[in-house]
Amino acid sequence: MRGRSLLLFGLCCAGLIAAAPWAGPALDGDNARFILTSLRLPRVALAALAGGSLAAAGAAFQILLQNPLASPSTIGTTAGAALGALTLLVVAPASASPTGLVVAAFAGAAAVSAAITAAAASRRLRAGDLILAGVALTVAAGAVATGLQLRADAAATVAAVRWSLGSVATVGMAKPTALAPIAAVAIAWLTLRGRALQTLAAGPERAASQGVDLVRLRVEVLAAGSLAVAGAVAFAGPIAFVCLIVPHLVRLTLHPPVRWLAPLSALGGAAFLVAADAGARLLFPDRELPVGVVTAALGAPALILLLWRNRSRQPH
Amino acid sequence: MSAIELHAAALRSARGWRVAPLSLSLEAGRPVLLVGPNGAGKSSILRLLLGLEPRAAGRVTVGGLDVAKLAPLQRAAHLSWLPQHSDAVEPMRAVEWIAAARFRFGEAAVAAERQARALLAASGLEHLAERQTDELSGGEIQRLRITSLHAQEAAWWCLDEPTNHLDPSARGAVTRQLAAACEPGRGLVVATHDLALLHAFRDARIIGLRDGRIAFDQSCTSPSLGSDLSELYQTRVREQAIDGQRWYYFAGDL
Repeated sequence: MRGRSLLLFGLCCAGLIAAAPWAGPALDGDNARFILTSLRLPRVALAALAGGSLAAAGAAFQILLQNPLASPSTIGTTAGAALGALTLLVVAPASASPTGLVVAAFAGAAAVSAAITAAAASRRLRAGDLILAGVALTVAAGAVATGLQLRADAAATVAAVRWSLGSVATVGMAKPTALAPIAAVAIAWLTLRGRALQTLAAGPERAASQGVDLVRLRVEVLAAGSLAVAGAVAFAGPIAFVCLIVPHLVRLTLHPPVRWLAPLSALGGAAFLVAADAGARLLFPDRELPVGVVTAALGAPALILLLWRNRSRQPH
Repeated sequence: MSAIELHAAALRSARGWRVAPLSLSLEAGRPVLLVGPNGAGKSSILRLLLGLEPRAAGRVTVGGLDVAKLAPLQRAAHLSWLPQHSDAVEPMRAVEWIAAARFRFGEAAVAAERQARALLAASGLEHLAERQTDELSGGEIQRLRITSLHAQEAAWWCLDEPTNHLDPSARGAVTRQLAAACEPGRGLVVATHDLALLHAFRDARIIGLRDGRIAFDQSCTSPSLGSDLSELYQTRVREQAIDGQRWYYFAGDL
């Protein structure tokens, strides 16, 4: 029964991703081939990779921090990555190569996640405080980013604002090709630590007594999660909420073993972001709606719903 | 047979000793119950044994090995731990919960789940296997947690208040489960206020604690146990023989 529902889930996600390039205004005429191969396929690939990376990181962070509201976008990792990349874009646009952006985004993401994870591990923060601290870090990073944009010229500011909305618009396969190995490494790493995460999920102190090296696990999940977020942010901008809601959707629909949550969320996140982008294309065929706007529009009510559910939930 | 030895081991907090330098030898095969009022240091001694906190002084060894120097996987083979409160947030199926406790074996997930099912059946809990942990009652969760100690197969079990917050029937079930687990060669250290646990084991060693120090250390069959407990808790403790077994219970202020 479980195997069948997982298979169905996998097929649905794969089908959605495979069908997405054909969603949108009809492909006919001379440009059809160019639109399909150079615009739509790359953007579907980029959306799938970014969505998969973000959702896998979200799932792993939720388990690691023992908090259903923890995710790169609520604890500040995404904002840290965005600030890192934006700093490079504005301060040293000449070094803003894809590699440079990934490195800068990783530095920002890792710094924020390390601060939050260390605070959570030392038990100085309670579950709710963790999210508040994340919100504070996100606001602070946003303020610094705005300040940075004031330094830039008009064209750079427009580019930075567009980028910060999160978008998977791209021409050619350069971005997806660069993101693919980063996403693969990060998702595989998080998947490999699935057993340890499952043991951790039954209680951190007991996990330590059951043989899990908590410090090492925290550092690894933090590094792999930050890498996933950095890759996604560097190539698609800070896309909100995919990382928060997709793991919950996967949990609610599949009840998978905890050790499979990150890889299944990666699959679900890929399909979710591709569908959000294709949906935007279908709804507004004549304009370019950044996918980050769609996920934020879907994610904000979903977050409120989760908070509502979380209030009535009693940990045993 | 493995033994836990404390050599002048101590834990400190900013306010003073949580466990004053303590030397103690615990033999596997004979259950040890740590009793004493709140704040007496019961949980702290368990944390000291498990190496969960940096010691202020001394040394703790299990089977001759320094607990502080054991790698997590090695330590998990010697010592298992049941904290008073479950800090689990992520719900999962009961069988996964038990399988997760076999982390130290590094076996395939399928093998761990097979073992988990066998253990659930042996504990009479097979009907819970597919249930999500957030749907279970406090008593069911506690019996599941004790089953997860079986799954870990460590030489020593350290339990903190295993019968707390349970109704009488669940408390009875957990007590029977613990008594059944008390096999030759298994070390059992239980911190508890529950006087019903004192007679759950044949020949248990009862260590009374006050202010992080040992107030008494004797057998559960000792004739002075009742008066020692009275003094320790500053509460009248009565003793009654039922079906040839001695029961202790709290019976009002001194």
